[in-house]
Amino acid sequence: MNVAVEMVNDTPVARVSGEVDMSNVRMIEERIGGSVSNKAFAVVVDLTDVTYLDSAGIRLLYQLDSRVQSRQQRLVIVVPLHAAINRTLEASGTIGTLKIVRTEQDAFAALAG
Amino acid sequence: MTAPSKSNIPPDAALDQLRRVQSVTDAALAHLAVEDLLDELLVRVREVLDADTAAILLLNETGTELVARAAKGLEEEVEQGVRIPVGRGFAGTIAAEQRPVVIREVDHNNVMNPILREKGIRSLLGVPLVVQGNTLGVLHVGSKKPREFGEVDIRLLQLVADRVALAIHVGLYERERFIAETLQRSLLPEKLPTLLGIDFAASYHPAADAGVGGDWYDAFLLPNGRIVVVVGDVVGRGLRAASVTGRLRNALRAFAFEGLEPARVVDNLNAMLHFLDPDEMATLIYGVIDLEQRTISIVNAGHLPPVVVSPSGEATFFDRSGTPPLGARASLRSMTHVVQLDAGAVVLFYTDGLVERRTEPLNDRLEALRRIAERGVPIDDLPALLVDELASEATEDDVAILCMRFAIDVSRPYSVRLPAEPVQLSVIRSMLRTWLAELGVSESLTYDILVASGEACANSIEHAYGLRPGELQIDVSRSDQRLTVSVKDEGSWRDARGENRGRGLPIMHKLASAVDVIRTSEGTDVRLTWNMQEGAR
Repeated sequence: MNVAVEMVNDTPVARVSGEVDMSNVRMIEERIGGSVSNKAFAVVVDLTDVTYLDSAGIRLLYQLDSRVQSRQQRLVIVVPLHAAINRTLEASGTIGTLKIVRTEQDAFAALAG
Repeated sequence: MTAPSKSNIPPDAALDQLRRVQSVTDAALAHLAVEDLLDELLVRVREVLDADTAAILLLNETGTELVARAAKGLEEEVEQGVRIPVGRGFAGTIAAEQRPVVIREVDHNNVMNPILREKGIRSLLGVPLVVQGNTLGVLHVGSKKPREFGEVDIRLLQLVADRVALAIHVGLYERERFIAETLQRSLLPEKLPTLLGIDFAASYHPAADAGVGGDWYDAFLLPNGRIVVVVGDVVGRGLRAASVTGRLRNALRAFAFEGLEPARVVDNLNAMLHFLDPDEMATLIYGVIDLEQRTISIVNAGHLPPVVVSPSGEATFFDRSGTPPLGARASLRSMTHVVQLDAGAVVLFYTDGLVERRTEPLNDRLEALRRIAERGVPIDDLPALLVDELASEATEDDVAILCMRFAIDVSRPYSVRLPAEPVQLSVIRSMLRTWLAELGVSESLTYDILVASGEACANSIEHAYGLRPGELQIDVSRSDQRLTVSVKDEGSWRDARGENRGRGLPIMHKLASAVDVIRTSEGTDVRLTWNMQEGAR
């Protein structure tokens, strides 16, 4: 598991890769949380390279979302159409609840709109 | 204290005193630890020779210095750990020349140890402690009044010294052997990992005469699901070799857990050994197994080549090494060789004690080993068979053997026990992936099975044991169209708490064909089943 954060037009983009489970969610949360300043309007979490996601990862996404919202910021999650982790998102009812788009480009389009 | 000269002691009185000493040593030998025994003997020696002080100094490991080990009337000598170079001064001369020395009048020229002078000792008698021609140390008595130690005194003290030497020899030897054996046992894993996709068998045999040596084997899981397998051999025997083995084994575990590449683990071990134990050398086979890829990455540091047995039963030596023994050079750049294995392959690590004999060429012995490996006996029986046929006679060296077989038999159920820790989740996934690939399960169904099983495991890890350490048992089986993964723990089921919790169970229900949660007083069993109309072979 790895998290790389890049600032794109003043918006932090956190690219997570590898397998996400209860052994590493706290680490991911700290890496993403530490990179979001009060000045940012939004956070993009790109899960394109995540090969495994369980309920601990889902919990992390919800926690991140409520934390960001409480600061009047927005969370956009990137998951490609054919990614395996869509199964976890479906099974947990996350699709339709959190803002999930297919590409980072879509994410910025959604934030601009 | 008035100390009459004992040089004219009547012979029968001396014999009586000797009997007293004798009775003390015999009784003490049976019951006392070495330190207590020395103390007890000194009390008697002082009494029998009517001396003011008595002390025992023993040679250090290298035989260059005498170290005070026990004293009466001279306790400071032991407390301060007085060391006397062999060949110099009073005690040093006795040890070097293996003969009694009498000093009528102590002065700066004949006694080096300032404590003897500060204590006001005027006269000294010392004799060597000798066993089988080897000097172990020195026993001496002293008088605060000028005194002439005579022939009878010398004979008496030497008789006592011979018994003391024997007691020390037996006591120290036995103790060292006991400690070394205990240490050696602690250096071998309590149990080998039980995993899906690989079976292990191992054994260790001490040498017939010299007891333990520096051989060890190890096999353990890394947090990333890979498995480290090791067989090593520290040159030398006894307590010293066992201690070096302990240091290497623990450092190896630490470097491996750091996530270092196999070659770097070995390089670091080499640098550590060379720097901290410059006189020691060791050979080592270090392997890291990736069950999903079915590969083993091997670094061979001066060790005999491992045997690889193909599924068809053909045994070959994997003899690409390129790395010298550990400790031979200040720095190493080890070579890693990756071996691709077929399902059913067996890999065998061993130490030279199994094959090296003075009377037979090594190549003949290796060929005999190779042929035994080709017989295709079940892996559980292989270590015993190898020892029976190759090392059943009294071996001069100890023997360590580690065998592993890479296989999943899809027709049989598997049961794996792991610590209930979050880091084990990736290990469990890795094993399940190997099993499901063997079954020919599709990628998408594999993902569902991994997530649902992962949820069951995470539930146990999070809730079953609280802060107590516990274990998970994962059972997998396939029958016709049904695939079952069961996750058991011995803890108590706890319903999910907190607003963001409780997603695990619904996810299991969505991804598995059926979910049964069986809660008993013994623990919880979550049984997940999949009907495999599609996706299965």
